[in-house]
Amino acid sequence: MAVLKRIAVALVTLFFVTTLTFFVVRNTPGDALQVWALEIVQTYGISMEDAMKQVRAMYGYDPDEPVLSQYIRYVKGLARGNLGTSILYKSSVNEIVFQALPWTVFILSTSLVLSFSIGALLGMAIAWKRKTVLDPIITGYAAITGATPDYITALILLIIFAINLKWFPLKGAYDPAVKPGFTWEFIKSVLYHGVLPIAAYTFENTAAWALAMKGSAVSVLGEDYIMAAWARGLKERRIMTRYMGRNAMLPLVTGLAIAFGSMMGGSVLIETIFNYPGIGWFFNQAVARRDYGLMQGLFFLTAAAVILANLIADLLYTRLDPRIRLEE
Amino acid sequence: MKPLLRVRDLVVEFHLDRGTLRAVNRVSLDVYPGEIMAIVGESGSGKSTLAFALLNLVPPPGRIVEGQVSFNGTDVLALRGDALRQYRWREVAMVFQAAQNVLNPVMRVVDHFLDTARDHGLTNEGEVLAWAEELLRMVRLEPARVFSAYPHELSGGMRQRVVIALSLLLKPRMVILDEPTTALDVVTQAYIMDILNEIRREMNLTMLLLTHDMSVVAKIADRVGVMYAGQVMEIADVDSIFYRPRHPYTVGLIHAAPSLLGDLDRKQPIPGSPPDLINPPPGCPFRPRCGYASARCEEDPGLHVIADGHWVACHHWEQVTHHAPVS
Amino acid sequence: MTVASIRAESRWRTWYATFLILYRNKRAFVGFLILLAFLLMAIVGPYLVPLDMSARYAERYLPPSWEHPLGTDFVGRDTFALIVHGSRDVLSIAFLAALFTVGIALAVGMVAGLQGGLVDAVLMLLTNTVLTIPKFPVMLVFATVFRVKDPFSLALILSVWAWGGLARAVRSQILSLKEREFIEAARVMGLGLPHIVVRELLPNIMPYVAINFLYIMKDAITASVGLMFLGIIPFSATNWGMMLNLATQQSGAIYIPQGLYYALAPMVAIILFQLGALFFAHGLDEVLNPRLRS
Ligand SMILES: Nc1ncnc2c1ncn2[C@@H]1O[C@H](COP(=O)(O)OP(=O)(O)OP(=O)(O)O)[C@@H](O)[C@H]1O
Ligand code: SF4
Ligand SMILES: [Mg+2]
Repeated sequence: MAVLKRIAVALVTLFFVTTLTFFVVRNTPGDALQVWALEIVQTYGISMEDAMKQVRAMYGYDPDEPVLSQYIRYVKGLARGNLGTSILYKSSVNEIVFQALPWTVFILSTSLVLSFSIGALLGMAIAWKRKTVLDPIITGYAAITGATPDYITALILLIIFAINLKWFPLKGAYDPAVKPGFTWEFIKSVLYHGVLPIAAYTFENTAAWALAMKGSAVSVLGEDYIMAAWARGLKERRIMTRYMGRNAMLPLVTGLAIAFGSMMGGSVLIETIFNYPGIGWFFNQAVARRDYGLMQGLFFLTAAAVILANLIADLLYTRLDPRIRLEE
Repeated sequence: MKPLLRVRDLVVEFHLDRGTLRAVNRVSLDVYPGEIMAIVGESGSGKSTLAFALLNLVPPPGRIVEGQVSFNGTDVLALRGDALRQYRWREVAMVFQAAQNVLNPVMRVVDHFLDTARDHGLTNEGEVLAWAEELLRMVRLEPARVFSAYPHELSGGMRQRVVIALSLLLKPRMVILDEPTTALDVVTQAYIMDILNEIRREMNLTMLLLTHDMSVVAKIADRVGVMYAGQVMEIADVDSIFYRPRHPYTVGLIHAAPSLLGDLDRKQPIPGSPPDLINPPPGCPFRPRCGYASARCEEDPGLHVIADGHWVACHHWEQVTHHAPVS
Repeated sequence: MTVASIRAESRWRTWYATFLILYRNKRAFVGFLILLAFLLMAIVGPYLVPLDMSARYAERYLPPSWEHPLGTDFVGRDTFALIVHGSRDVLSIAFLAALFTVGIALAVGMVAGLQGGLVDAVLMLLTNTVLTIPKFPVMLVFATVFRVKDPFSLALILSVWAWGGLARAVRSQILSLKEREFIEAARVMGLGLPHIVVRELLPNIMPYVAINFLYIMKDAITASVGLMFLGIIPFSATNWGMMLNLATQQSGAIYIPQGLYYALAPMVAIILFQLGALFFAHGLDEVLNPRLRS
């Protein structure tokens, strides 16, 4: 039951967002279509009127169609998995997503796993050892990353490691000279191109995880079951992982989805800075060239991904905390 | 007989912002093999802190400042590392105060047994489980149901019985029971006390029972230590404590417990309240509440023996009678 | 003594205590000084540091000197002057955005908290949506569609998706305040909703809102500079975000060593301001949440 309710809320949220973007973006493709039609006129030498008709048909846009029916058509399309058409790339948004999404997923998931695990370990270490030099270092590190927008971190990494030291490439997700495939050479190239974007996200987020984990772990350490575990003569490692770690981790699980959302939102800037051909990079192209179809499609995708991430985190939380499961 | 546990002049302090709090103040006592020794005292008298000190497990900001704890000849306060780990639970196990959540909320009950056994070198899981099942049956729980449950799925009384079973897992020589029934309803309390009595008979365990409840003491203890403000006031066998108490505080405790005299109307709480343990005045800590107090009581009376196995910390023990002093 | 004077007195005491604690809290004090410096820079700076926007190619990418404390940009303009004039732009946009955001958050949170029922449920669903969907893409879409040309509309766009957290917090504070005696007393005295809101509820949540104002301003700067950096709202040449955009994309200053001073200047300015806001807000937090003080 509780699961169904959460799914329902997720769907309502998605519906909210879809409706909002539709009405915000609705009237705008007019001039962009004109440009496209003009291109066709020049290339094929047909009349502007015919070109316009052709373009509208391709784009699925009819200025005389009532708003409501446009909206219904749009929602129906989405429900069938059709994200729309890009004027800029003259192709369906789905095709672009198919190309770009794997890169974004690769970068975000790697960064999320890295920053979460490093941060959680650091936070646990600080909480466990109480007074170490690590504590003020992490606090300072957290203040710096808290004050530095992720795109500035990315820019600084780019300037140092790509432009000046030339250790890492300036653009792309892999070396175009390497044939894509499941070969070591290709994987190496992908990893090599992914280092800087991953480093930017990871550097930016690790300290926050460390602080969150520290706070959570310190409060868990005050619990009776920790004392009881010591009294039972359990090994330090076990108490640290199974007793403190497991419990301290729980409240952070929902944070994972929030972090994923803000990273996904930041990907427009990060992927643009590193010229990394993921969803964010295409989003920026859509915005800069005013390709509303692409923008709308990618925005929907982003929203859906984030909502899904939240749903998964919610469900994961109920799986991890046996106390919640009973309350359902 | 040689004592199993010997405590001498034990001092435990908490270093707080307001000052230093002496929760356990020069406590000395012996516990003999096979007996049930009870420590009685009001809330805050330092019972739990004493218990943790016996396991060499005083939580910060607390610290064992001085004194000796020897268990079966081993100097407990000198134990470190694995030796200390093995001493805990294998030699002395503890049943925590019943109100506390002693079980890891994200672990099933059975894993608590397995974890404990594993870290004490018992690798034969089948044997461990069989023994754990037997223990659970001994505390009248159904192993099949309880094993796979999470702590929050059990009632308070069931949880407390699980904890008791867990304390017996490594067949320790001594079990410390810290208010094992306080947070439970009366029926469950009686039930658990019965179980404990039975276990003690069957396993020939030594038990140190910490409680504020004189009726529990009367029911189950062989010998009794009375604690007040972190200090031992009187130690004697249970009959002497109830029929020939020699400390005004002990007398007060007996009269404050209604069921013992069988007469609810006569129940008389001890007037006043325990002293602040930070910067207490010198002399007998019970002085402000004592009907026998004199100028001499501004000097520390110290614990001294007045009969075979009967110790009292009072200047005027000879005048103390069984009747409630009118103050 | 009248109730009003007791209130005034205790409020004054609170301010004084706040000041004392901030003074003792080193980080908060440093934050306060940084913010003060930026405030001065934004208010009086432009009058003291003249900005010459004309191009002098011979003087491009000069290193720092007495004449140009932060060097010059890709057409020979003084970087320091650009930063100073940009600060006014950046801060006023962030200030406006925070004002709008707090306004929306207060309205949503108070209505939801006071009204309850269906209104509350719908508003919270909306709030939940705002909190779930990352705000930067939303702002991007809005900024693209509405073609922002002035600080006012930019501030609106920055606040449109930024109020979720505060609204939720305000609502829960209202819910707990509603239970308290003095609200009940005011209601019994027939003092009416506006009175209760203005005289009883608002003063109680104001300290909390003040802290959040700083956090929101900080986020607004991050977002506005980010938008400017992408080149979507090119209405101000001195805005730090515009400087970043010019340095990285249009002039290519980051690609040459001499251009680094120019490229780094806006980044350092942003980080410093954010650090100040973070430190100061954190200090305030500690004052108002005694639990954090240790
Ligand atoms: N972790 C701690 N920090 C500070 N003071 C403590 C701590 N633990 C115990 N104390 C203090 O030590 C004194 C003795 O406490 P203790 O818990 O040992 O008493 P108790 O007899 O077990 O009482 P109760 O019946 O309430 O459990 C009390 O004054 C208590 O405030
Ligand atoms: S020493 Fe004095 S004050 Fe203390 S209990 Fe005995 S008579 Fe009372
Ligand atoms: Mg206790």
